[in-house]
Amino acid sequence: MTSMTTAEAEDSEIKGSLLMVFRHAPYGRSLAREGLEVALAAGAMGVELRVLFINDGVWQLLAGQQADRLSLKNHLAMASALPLYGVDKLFVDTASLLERNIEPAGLTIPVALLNELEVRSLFATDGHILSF
Amino acid sequence: MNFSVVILGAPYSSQSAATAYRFTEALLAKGHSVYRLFFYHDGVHNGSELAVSPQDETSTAECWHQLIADYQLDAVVCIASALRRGVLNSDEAVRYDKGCANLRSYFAVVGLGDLVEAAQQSDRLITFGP
Repeated sequence: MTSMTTAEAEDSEIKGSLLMVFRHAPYGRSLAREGLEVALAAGAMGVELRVLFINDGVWQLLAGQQADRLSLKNHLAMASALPLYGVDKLFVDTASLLERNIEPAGLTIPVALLNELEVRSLFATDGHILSF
Repeated sequence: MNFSVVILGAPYSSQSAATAYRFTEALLAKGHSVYRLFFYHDGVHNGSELAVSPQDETSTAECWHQLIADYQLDAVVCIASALRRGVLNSDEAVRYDKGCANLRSYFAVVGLGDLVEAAQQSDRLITFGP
């Protein structure tokens, strides 16, 4: 057995990249917001991170959110900060958009649209998944 | 195998926190190890010392208490989630001029960096939704 260098030993302790799955609408409960806070923290730490918006999570990306009417902070404004934190691998489940009659053109942040097979492979290839 | 468990559910309101507890208990019984229990979102309520259950009902918070003590587990609450929900240790109670603290003493108060680090250090990261 060959001995590892220090760098290799450190690498072996890091268990893969992170996939964050956002499945809930931006308002009504704080889950989406607290999930987004994890993504921003992970981005700030330089973690290799991918974010998937799926099911009701696709509402988080919709333009024209009037959060002030709910006396809440604007979720989209916060989500828009993701690329500034180095989180630019953003994916959307196309079927979730279609089910909700949301036009991809209505999404304001640059995202990649994934079909069912691509969503499956995203889940299959990632070591760690955090779901909100 | 080395696990970290993320608990997002409050005790009693839903089955989630109790399921997370049973899962953790089972993996320890199987000889696996727990790197960290991360209580986030409504999960921070599991750390409150003030919850009182009727004597003929199981208290999830008490179950956690026993398990964490028995195995000396690293149990933490996210500070942002905890402050917003009124779960404070004595330091935070003093800092925000509150009359009392309610976080059990063996829970550490940490930032989200500790969740990300737990993900990096664990073979498995298991989330129990709210």
